[in-house]
Amino acid sequence: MRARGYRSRGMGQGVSRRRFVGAGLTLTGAAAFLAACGGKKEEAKAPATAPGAATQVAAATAAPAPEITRGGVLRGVGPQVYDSVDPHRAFGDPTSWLLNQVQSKLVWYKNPDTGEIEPDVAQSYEALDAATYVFRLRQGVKWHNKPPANGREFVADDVRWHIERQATQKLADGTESPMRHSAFYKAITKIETPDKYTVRLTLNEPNGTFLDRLAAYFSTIPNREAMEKFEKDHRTLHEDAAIGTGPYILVEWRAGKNVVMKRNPDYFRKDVPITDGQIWTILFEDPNAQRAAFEQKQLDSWSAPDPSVTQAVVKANPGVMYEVLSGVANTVYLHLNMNQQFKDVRLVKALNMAFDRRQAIQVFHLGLGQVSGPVTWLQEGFAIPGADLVKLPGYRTDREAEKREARQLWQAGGGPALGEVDIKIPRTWLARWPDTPQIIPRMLNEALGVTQFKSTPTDYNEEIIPNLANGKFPNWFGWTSQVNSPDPRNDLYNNFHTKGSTNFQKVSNPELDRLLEEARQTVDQKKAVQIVRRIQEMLLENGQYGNVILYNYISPTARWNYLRGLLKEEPTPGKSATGYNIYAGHRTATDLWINTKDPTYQGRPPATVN
Amino acid sequence: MTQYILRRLLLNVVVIWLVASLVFVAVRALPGDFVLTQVATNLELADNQAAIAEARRLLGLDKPLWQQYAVFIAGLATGDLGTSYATRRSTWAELGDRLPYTLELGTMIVLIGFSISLPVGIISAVKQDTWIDYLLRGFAILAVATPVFFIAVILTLIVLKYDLWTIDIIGRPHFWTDPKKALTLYIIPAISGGVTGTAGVMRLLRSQMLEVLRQDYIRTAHAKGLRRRSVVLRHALKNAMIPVLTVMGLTVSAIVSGQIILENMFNIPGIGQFLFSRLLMRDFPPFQGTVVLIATVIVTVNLIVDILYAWLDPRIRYA
Repeated sequence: MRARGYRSRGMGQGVSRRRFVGAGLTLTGAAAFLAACGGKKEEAKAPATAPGAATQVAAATAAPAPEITRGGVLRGVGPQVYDSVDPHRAFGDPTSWLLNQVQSKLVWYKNPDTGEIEPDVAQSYEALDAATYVFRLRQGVKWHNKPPANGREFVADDVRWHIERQATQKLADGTESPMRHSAFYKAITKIETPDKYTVRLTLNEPNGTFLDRLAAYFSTIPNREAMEKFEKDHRTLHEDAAIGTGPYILVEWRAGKNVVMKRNPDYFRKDVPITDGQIWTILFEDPNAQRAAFEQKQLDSWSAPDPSVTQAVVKANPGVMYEVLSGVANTVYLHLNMNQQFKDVRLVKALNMAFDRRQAIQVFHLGLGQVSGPVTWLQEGFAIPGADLVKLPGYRTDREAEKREARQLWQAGGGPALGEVDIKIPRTWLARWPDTPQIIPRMLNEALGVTQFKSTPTDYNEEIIPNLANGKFPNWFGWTSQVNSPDPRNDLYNNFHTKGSTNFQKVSNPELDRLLEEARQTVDQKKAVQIVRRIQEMLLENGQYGNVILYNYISPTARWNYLRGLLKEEPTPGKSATGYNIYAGHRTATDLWINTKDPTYQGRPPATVN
Repeated sequence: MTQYILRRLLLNVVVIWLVASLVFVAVRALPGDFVLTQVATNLELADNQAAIAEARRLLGLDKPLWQQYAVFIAGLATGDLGTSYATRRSTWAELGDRLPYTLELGTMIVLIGFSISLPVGIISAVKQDTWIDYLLRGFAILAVATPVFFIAVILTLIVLKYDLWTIDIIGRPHFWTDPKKALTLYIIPAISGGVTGTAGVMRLLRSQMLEVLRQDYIRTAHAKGLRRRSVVLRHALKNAMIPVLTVMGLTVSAIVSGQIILENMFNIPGIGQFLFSRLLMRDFPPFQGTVVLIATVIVTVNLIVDILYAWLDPRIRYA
């Protein structure tokens, strides 16, 4: 159970966010362009799910992937608000999403869903052990050629400043300022830079997930001179404040204006970015405006707040558009308070089986979704494979068997004696699915053969969040976390380790603690996957300790045929394309391109970035 | 007259203060605040409380409500409409960016709306109980009954379906920079807003005209051999317009104050869209400031309309 993700909940009104910038930026949301970059934070719909497998939806009619053509300007929807130009001091995600286009990280995800990592501005890296990491930087990497950086070389001292500033939270003038990821950088006890191109980091304890955090979207390295120049006015947007070594240079970044980026001619990767630039428009989350803009090719991709609308548009334009399906980072949970009403684990296990995940996906998301185990299916590298998951209690397709066992456990655990059980529903969820208070109790009452379940509305910020730490939170159903990383080890540790920072269920299981520690300390990915698998089994044996992960849904994004790339699977006749589930905006420069030879490119309004 | 104007001005100040107080309380009655909805949303819970407290302190949200209210009212008294939490820009600066868009749309709506509603109202009255009257009345009733977004969506779909023109939704053109592109953007919302926004004027003008056309002085004018056009436009219309003018004044001030639905639908970054987006993100200062400004515009326009009464009809005198 994590507290992240109320961003998507708040902006999930088309937040969403969102849903925001991954050819499906939120917004909050503003999700079309961010969605193109993967990591959608919106919801979706479509036909029913096969057990353990993502739903296939509207037919895609695009031809096989053609040869890459260079040039063109990408156009998508960007966030409306950025809270800082400084990635260290920004507490909202939009700044980091944008800076992924402009700045580099030491390492990045080659595959954001499996968590495969490769060097970015580093030439190579080496884990001497789980507490010592050495990065050899690329030589000749230049900061963007504009003041105050003026194209100087990126060197090891830049990395040192990046880490030390966040660890100490100190600005150039000596004052302190809160920095969002300070705790992570404080764990680095020693920074050595034996030469201009080598950085050796020593951690206070072994941490096998260290590289994962360095690869995350919020780990971009800003330019020191620019940050210090704009230090006092870091909340005022300005293109000169965001200098990096990344593939694009900001041309315009002002409040209330479209964000404009152009290709960085000095980027250290050859022939990248593929496109000449990007424009992130500020487009209000009104579906009429976005649809009109997309249908007239003013946007290259688009995701409607109502997924059925996106699918309808694709279906109505056969042969010229295709659909991309991406998992949504918001995980749907059933939270049962094991400190209070659900002290007996049998009751939790009973509800884990009584809750019909597939029915919920069908009812709330028109079938577009997939059941999730203790590690969500979005995190491909660590999740229990669908074929195995479907054999486990709570995930089986034999509903009668599930209900039978659930009833036995409910009776054995003294469920009837609990009296009335209120499964609260946050109002942010109700805003989208107002029938939920009827659906959930009916489902549970019917499955358990009782009449004791009911649902009433609640607020995250008033009843749930303030009561997490004191253990008095209500039982509730809804979004809880936002999957930001393909590696679940930190979240598992925080949620279930005796010393975990978000262990609100007060779990204390020595064997589980040992496994969580072991998983976090290994740098051997295969070993980590094995340990996490064992952790998941243990969690399932214990009803996920009340944090019952149910499913993650899928969102469709419509793309014109001329927009290509940044896909896990290309569209084929009769089959939609598959996008990344976890944020992949950093791959825009290397993977996303415009096929100017495609017939659909004709009539696209011109776009320039200079 | 001067005494009346002064009294009305004083009353307007009280009205504006009441509006300011009401909006101050109302926005704070909503669940959540800017820090919770925009800043705290991405935090790990472990970081949460300290960061929230710091953000609240920086934005002044940690102060007691009465202090926030005092700061707000004192700011208004000096013409300061507040600073946006989200952009750290003054509300005046934000409105300065947006006002041109709203004025462009508002002007288009007013021009299209009144160029339809006034002739319809007049012709409908003059041609009372003919097929033309029935047709125009039907049109007016339909326009009153149809939501603005419905007409806008239908018109948009027609343009998209037949690919009539490219609606420049992301370019945000102005008439003075690119009139052709601006027209492609504004024409649908202007027609939609004009037709629905001024439909009431059509109905009111028709009924007023009918009443005036039955007056003795109109019959006298006809008897004296004046041309029909002259009787209708110079004698009847001027008198029928007195109550219509009130409605027109309010309509104009409402239109020019921002079209929340139309601006959102067509991504026109005007005052309406600004208000709505600020409310969603609980960015209180610009929302409060803008509402107060709109209230000021409306009461001022009302005052001007009342003064115009006297000019239109010298029989009206204010004690």
